[in-house]
Amino acid sequence: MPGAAGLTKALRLSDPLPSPGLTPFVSPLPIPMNAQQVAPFQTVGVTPSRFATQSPIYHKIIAEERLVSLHPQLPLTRIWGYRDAAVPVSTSGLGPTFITTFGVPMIMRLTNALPPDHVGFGHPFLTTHMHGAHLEQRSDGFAENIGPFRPVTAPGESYDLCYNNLDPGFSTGEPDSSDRPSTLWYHDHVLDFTAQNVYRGLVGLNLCFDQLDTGDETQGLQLPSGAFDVPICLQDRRLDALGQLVYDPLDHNGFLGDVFLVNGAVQPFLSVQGRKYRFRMLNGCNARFLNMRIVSASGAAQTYSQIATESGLMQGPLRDQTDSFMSPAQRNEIVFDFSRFAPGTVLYLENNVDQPDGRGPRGTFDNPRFTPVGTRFLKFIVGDRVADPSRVPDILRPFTLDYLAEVPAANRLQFQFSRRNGVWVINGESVDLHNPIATVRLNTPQVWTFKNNSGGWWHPIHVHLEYMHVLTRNGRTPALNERGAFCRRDIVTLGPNDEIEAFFKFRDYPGRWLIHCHTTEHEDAFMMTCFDVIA
Amino acid sequence: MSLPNKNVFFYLAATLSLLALNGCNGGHLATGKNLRSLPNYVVTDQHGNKLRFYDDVIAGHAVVLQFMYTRCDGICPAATGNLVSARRICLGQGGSDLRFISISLDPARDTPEDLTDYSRISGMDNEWILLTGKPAEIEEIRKALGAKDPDPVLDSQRSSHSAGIVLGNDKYDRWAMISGLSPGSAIARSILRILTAI
Ligand SMILES: [Cu+2]
Repeated sequence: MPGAAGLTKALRLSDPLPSPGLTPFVSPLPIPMNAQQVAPFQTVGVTPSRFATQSPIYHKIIAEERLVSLHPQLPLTRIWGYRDAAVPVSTSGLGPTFITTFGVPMIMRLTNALPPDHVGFGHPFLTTHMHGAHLEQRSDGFAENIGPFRPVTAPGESYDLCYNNLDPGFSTGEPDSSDRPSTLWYHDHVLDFTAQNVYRGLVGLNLCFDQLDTGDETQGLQLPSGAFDVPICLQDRRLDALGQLVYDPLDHNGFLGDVFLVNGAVQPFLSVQGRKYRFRMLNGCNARFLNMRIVSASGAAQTYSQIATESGLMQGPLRDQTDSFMSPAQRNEIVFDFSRFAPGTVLYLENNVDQPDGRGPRGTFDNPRFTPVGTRFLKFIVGDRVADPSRVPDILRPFTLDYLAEVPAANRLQFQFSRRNGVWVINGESVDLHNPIATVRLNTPQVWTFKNNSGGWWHPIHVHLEYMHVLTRNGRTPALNERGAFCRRDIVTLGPNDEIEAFFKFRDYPGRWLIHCHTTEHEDAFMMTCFDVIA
Repeated sequence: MSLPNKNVFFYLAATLSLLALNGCNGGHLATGKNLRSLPNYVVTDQHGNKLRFYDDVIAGHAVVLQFMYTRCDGICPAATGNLVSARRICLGQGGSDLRFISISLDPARDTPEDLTDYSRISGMDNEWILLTGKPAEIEEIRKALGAKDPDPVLDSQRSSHSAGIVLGNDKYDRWAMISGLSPGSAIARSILRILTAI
């Protein structure tokens, strides 16, 4: 209780109480609504690329404050979320899910309807980043206003964004159709406040399809589709006794919550049929690293096939996997076959990373520590076995390995991430987004080295505009799930003292692009820099 | 049935009263809370005035706080220089209501006179507030503002002290931290952003 010194506010919360205890697995897994197309409208400042051969589709999205139910035992929770303007009310913890058909441009008008007089953590000024998209600078959700671009919208303002959805290399006549995403997510990206705004709920998904990954399990690759293609957005939160979000905006180590959400619901359940499912897992936590397993009631890990990373389908599936390690903002897609379990079987999706604080897990990237008992996010209740036309073919998205020939002559750059006097520096420099740390030429091969010199901290490093082919991890060929010849990544995880070499080619779009840590508290404490791509 | 834990009870009561307060105040419900409270210790400014840290320095203001000490030969000179230049930029762009505050990390030695000298040498204007106080209390203020390192060794070394700049807009209970090692122009842009609350 207040002593002689007194206290500023009614509440002393510096020793946080645990979130209220909630009965797990009482509500069904919510699936966010698909975004609905609207009639074409007059856009401001954007037009699809002249290389686009198809007419764009249009969406209007509103960022708003709203009340949602995280759990039936809690009062409604006030969050910030994206809502489809085509619907009058949303009760979803996530924004609407975009469905992208590759080659079809999408135009989105984002209207900021957040309360201008908002009190508490979060900053109602927004810039919306489509994480993992290959797109023009104007629509990338740059972290602050810059040059001719004013992506940061105040309450009451709108901003139009254009996603061309064209293959990298389109502008030089060498489109690389193997370089396509499958699960993107969009989130706020405003400088200094990304962690707070994303934690408040400004998150949504974007699922991408094409003639291979058709979204129809009777055609193309025949991956599980429709109701059997399930997004799994994993988030952690801290709640007060009234179910409201609690956050410390002056703790910059990285937020860890003690309540676990899937698609905006606390520990839901999913009744599944005895067949294959595709789960698109997104680590939507600010600072929590996840190792997702599907376990039996007794804790025995069950196998699945990993089919994609955050940068789309891999060359082929990794079968008989039990663990999916994901840094904040990474996506892993898996196919899990429930037909091998008797009806009534119960399974759990759990995380078992041993992470004491926002600095990262115990152990190293190659050898992270796990807890003996996992934390359950989602319960599966297996139903009857049903017919299953879906497949997991041996070849998913054939990769061209042309980049390997370009490695020896590539331009080389190094980025060292260090901590100095309690703040972050990259190559010794503190952030200034008006001064790029590097300038590279469009369409030239690049080999970049990312080195973590920051002591025991972990950093998931995200590079905008293009996916990377990881060449080496600490001098060695990386494991298949991050090996450049097998899959791409848009985030590479630097465990303590790790050093990664990755190949890039920045194609099609000159401009200024961000490199940053995706532990969003580190990002906000200026663990960010930018580079210019010039023609 | 056991009685609720005293803390939980206090927490609940306080939360409810906050809700009630907000309810009368234009219908805004509690929208999620900052896990944050600032100590209200008596501190001393460069003129020798006694001020309550929260009530007199922070309450109702948009503030920019840095940590320094006058005998620092590490990062302080550069970081203070960046902040002084950021201050000049802010003044030209509608930031005249901003309070720039420097808090000594060597309060046992830094007297008001030392702080006055420091402000003059550093080019700080007369509105700038420099604070010293009782070491244990300043230490608590520093930690409450998040200018700390999770590594206890680093945290205890004054030479490795935080170059973070704390940005606060008390009216909106909005807080962030940026780096004092960035150029003044970049610092100024972040400062102006947190002030554009309305
Ligand atoms: Cu980091």
